Amino acid sequence: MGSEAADSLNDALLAEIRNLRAFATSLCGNRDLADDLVQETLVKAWPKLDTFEPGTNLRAWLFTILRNTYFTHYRKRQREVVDSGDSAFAALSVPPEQPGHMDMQDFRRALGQLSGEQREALILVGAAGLSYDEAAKVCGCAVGTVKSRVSRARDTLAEILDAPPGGDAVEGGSSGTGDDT
Amino acid sequence: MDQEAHSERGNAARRRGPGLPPDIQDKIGQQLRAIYDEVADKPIPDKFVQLLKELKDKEKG
Repeated sequence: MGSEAADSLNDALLAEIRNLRAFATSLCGNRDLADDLVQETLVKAWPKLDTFEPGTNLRAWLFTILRNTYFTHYRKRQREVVDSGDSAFAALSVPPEQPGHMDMQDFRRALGQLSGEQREALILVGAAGLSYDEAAKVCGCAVGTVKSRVSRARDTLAEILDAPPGGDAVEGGSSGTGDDT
Repeated sequence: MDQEAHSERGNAARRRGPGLPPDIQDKIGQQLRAIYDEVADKPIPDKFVQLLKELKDKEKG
């Protein structure tokens, strides 16, 4: 590639690092591991840049490389280090110096209860700004699958957030549902 | 008892499906982006800038 094209791709890559870090953290739940993952993604992406189709979404292209790297190498390694279970967002917990974010903590917990597939789809579409089409390519599945994962993820979140476990926020007991009978 | 269980299922069913109220969808979207941006908004560590520079230099030879 010409050096001008290389420069502009270099800038574009640089601009995507923030998104790569956020997506990587959501996948592995560990910031250090996430940065290793981003680094490896960049190293892998660089020599393949000439296979990137201009006009398509660079973010989605990079996410695909990052996700494949994660599932082929990192997940195994990570299981050896920590049993992260379903707490993939543990590392994103609100730092202690930020009190008063109860809502957000509830939301994180709820997000942690989703399946990995649902959480991933929701993050790609709802936070990373990918289209359903692009998210489907990243995840290697059908568009319809992504749509249904996102929709189920939203439903589950709404349900969890609407009905906190224990239900101690509800007054008036069983008849307080406002149902017409 | 049966009726109560039934009515609970009914409520759950109403919250599900394509009919999630827009305000709830908005709230989910906002919180999702806030969590994502918490990482995305951090300054890019120098090591990445350095890495890209090295990759570029290596290519130029």
